[in-house]
This record gives sequence, C-alpha cells and structure tokens, in this order.
Amino acid sequence: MPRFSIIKAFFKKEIAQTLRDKKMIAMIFFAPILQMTLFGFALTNEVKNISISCIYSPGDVLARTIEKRFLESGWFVPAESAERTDYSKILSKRKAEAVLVMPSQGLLKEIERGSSGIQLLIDAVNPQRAVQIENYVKNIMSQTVSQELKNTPAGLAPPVDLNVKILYNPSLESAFFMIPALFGFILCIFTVMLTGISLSKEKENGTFEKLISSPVTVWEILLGKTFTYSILGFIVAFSMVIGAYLLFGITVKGGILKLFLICSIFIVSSCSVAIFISTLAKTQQQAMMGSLIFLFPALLLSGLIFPVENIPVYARWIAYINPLYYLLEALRNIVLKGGDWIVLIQTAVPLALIGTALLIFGVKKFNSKL
Amino acid sequence: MTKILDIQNLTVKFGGFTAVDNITFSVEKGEIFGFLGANGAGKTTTIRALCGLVNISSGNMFIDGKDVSKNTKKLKPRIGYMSQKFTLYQDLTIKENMLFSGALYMMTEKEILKRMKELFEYVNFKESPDEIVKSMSGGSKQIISLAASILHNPEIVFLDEPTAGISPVSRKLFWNLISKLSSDGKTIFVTTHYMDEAEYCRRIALMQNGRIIALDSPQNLKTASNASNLEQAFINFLDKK
Repeated sequence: MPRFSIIKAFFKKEIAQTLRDKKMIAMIFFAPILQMTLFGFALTNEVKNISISCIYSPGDVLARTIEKRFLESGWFVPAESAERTDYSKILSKRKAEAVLVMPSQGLLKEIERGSSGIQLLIDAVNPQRAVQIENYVKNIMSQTVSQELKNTPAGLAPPVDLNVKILYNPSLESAFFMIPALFGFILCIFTVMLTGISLSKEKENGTFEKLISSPVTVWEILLGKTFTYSILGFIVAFSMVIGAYLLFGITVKGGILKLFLICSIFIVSSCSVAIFISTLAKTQQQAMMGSLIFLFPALLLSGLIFPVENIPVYARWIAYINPLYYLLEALRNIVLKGGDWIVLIQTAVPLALIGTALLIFGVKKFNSKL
Repeated sequence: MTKILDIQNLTVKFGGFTAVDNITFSVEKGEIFGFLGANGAGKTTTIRALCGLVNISSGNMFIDGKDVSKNTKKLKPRIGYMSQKFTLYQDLTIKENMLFSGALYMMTEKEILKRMKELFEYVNFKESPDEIVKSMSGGSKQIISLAASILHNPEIVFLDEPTAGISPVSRKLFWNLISKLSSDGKTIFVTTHYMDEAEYCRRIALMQNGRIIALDSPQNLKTASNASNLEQAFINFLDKK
C-alpha cells in the first residue's frame, strides 16, 4: 500500500521544483491559453451529412436539378420539407441545417435578372460546418447552373450570387468543435510530457539513486510523480474550461463532474505512457523526444483535427487503441451535447481497458535498480 | 566485536564486464572501513550492491545477519548512502531537500528540522536553510549531502568519495562528523583517494580490477609492504600483483 505521507512529500517537492522554474510556469499557464486561442480560431473541419431543405416552385426544373445534385454529392441529406412562409421554423427546431429558398417566379428568371433573390439560411451553431455548408452550396449551385444553361437558349451562364444568412452564431466562432478536444489534448501533453520528463530528470541528475536507496517502493515513486502532474494537468485543463467560457462562451453542458470522471480515467493511460517513456529515456531530452513521438501520432489519429471516420480502414485500428481518441469523443459529447451516459460508457470502458493494459506494461518495465 | 557486514563471494557483472569479482570480506560494528582503489576498481559497485541498488550476479551479502537480497526493504531504513554523484535537488533549498529526504524515511517535519539543526551545528555549517542548493560551493553541497543521508540516524553509513573535490577545511569538518558518527557506534564504510583520510580508517581494503588485493589496518599494511607511508604501501601492493 503506498503511504500517503510519501506521496505528499513528492507532491510538495515537485510543485516547489516546478514553480521555481519560470520557463515552466510560462509553459504551464500561458501556452495552453495561447493554444486554445489558436486552435479555436484557426482550425476547420470537413463537413458531411448536412440536412438541407430546398424551397422552390413546383415547375422550377433548374431548382429541382440543383436539389438532386446536392443529394448526389454525398455531403447533403434531405431535411423535412417546408413552406415558403415558415422555413425558419425547421432551422430553429434543428430539423434542417440549411434552407435554400429559391425565388417564386423560377430560378432561371432570377439568374437572368441578376440572381439576388436566392436566399441561403445556415444554422451556424457549429461555425466550421456553417462555412463549409455555404461553400458547398455555392459550388454545387454554380456548377449546376453553368452546366444546365449551356443547353439553353440563354447561352452564357452568369455567376450565381447567393444571399446568405447565418443564424444563431453570426460571428462564426470556430471554437465550438476544437475547444473541448483541446482540454483533452492539453491534459494529455501535461501528463505525458511533464511526468516523463520529471522521471527522467531524476535519472539524469542522479537523484534517482537517492530515491531508490531509501525505503520507498516503486509504486510510491510513480504515484508521487504522476499524482502531482495529473493535478497540474487538471488545474490547467479546468482553467481552460473557464477560459473557453470567457473567450468563446462555451459552457460544459454535461457538467464538470462527468468531465472530471472521464479525465481521471484517461490520465491512467497517459501517465502509463509517461512511465514507459521514462524507462527508455535516460535524459530529459530523450524523454521530450519520446513524448513527441507518442503525442504526434496520438494527436493526428485522435479526431482532434481529422475525423477518424476519414482514416482508411487498415489504419483506423491505430485510432481505436489510441486513448486520446476516446477522450476527445467523450469530451465533445460532454461539453457540447450534455454527456449522454451511454456515449460516456462507450468511451470510458475502452479507455479504462487501454489504461489498465498500459499501466501493467509501464510498471513492469519500470526498473527500481540502477 | 560483531560483524555487521558480511560479504561472501560477491560477483557483479554488467553484460560481459565483471565489475566486482568474487570478493569476500566483513566489516565490524562501529568501525571506519576504508575502500581504496583506482576509478573503475569496483568500489562504487560494491557499495551499490550492498545498498540493494544493483542486481548481483552471485554471492551472498548479509547486513546484521540478514540477507540483503531478501530483506532489501527492511534493511534500507538502517542504511545511509551518500553517492559520489550529488544526488540532492539543485533547484530546491537546503530545507526543502532535507524535508523530502527525511520524509522518504517517514520522519516528521519536526524531527527532520531538529536533526538538521544538530548536524549543521556540529560541523559549524553556516549557510541559511532557505538557500537554493545550486548556488552553493562543492564543500557545502557535500556537507548537505552527508546530512541528508544520515538524517534518519542509520546504523551503517556508506560514503562514496564524500570528500572528492572539496577544500581541506571542509574535509576536516567532514571527517570530524564521520569520527563522531563512529564514536556513536555507527559503522562507516567509506571510499576515498586521499591517503590522509585513509589513515583515519581502522581497516582498509585495497581494490583492483574488481578484486580485493589487500585488507588490513593502515599500520599493518605499511609493515607488510615495508613502506614508510600508506601511499608507498599501496604502490608496493599494486606492483606485486
């Protein structure tokens, strides 16, 4: 049984060491906020399954063709059809993400007149999607129009101009999708890198010799280290939750408790990875490199930036053994959708299994001799 | 006198390299036992084996009659070990280092601070406990290092080149403390390159290439090799081999 007073001594020592290093403080408290701002504003995602509703007069052949092209493109699915008078209702009820309102006298006539009467309404709660949807709609419309008009007496195809209205999130903040995942990624970086580095630091500076010559157990050393950096990771991740609220107005719909639960399960995995890295690394530099070798693929195959569904099947299994993938799934579910328990369990169980396997492996490899 | 350390046919190999080659010796309770030899002779490895820090290849080691390999955990609190490398945290203060070192031995903060004060007073150590270790002189670091390894009042103290690279004044203070520990009944196992320090030892073992080539009191070693001083005695022993 690990003794509490030993863990406490480690905690005090690690905190004192961390806080004495000004570069470390900058890395811990400013880097995450900087990253959050960058990630939140700069990164976008590919978008699929957009539910769209097209409103047009029964005899409008061109409009019908355009609707067909939307559905054929693979990006769109048909939404509930609506009347010309109350189309905004299906947007507000989230039955459609986009509504394209064609002019009542027919699209062809409108285009000949200068096409200002075509209206596109987009639900922009998720801003990345909104921007993508707008682009998709514009592209498909102008392509279709130019193709169709070649065969008509009108001859030249004028550019299609849309009157776009962005609803619910007019400022188009791209943070909604990225930020919850970023909590997870920061937690991952902290626990893997800081724990790994601090374990290797003991070896590099020779202080590890002092530790193992005293009557502390391997578990106490490992717990003392991982506990401290997990706490730091939690503090930073949760200060990001506050930052996300202040900067982007994002609230945790599922509540902090669920967030804490899934993060706690996750850190078993990330700390185990750190322990494993420290068994291979003799210096802090090596530990840093080792962490990056883990973090990059873990990040790229986590769905943070590229959807896992887009990864070719033969490589997808890497994502399915990647603890970060489950964490990010769970975090988005908790922060954005309110954290449905079934989804939570679906992510927590694999995460717990991966964590246990990694922990057994890491601790077995960790040598308490020189 | 009772044997506190008993080493029988100890061999430690690292891959194909034999660091310690079948050595047998014992150390008596309360004595200052010196370990001399060139770098790489196997002194540090022997100490590390006794502290349970390296895996041994063959042989037996007993501390106070208990097999070290089987009772490592129970024996560790009775041992103090000062490595030849500086093994305290450079980025912590003296006090923080002491509190951490002591806590590893389940000492309370009060006990640690009291003991630290005693030890520092004894060697007339004047640095403030809130000083960061990094900025201190080599001699001060060694004093702190020794204090940290004997905080928990161990019966046996292993000192691996404790005075390497420190000033003669610091060395004198250092040996005052070692002598005091010995007179308190502690067993001191020390390696050194200084002949004047070797003279303080009750018995000396001379190591070469993993083997002990001579073991006796300083006086007997000098007599046996027909030398007027220890340095000459060792040269004579090494030549003979």
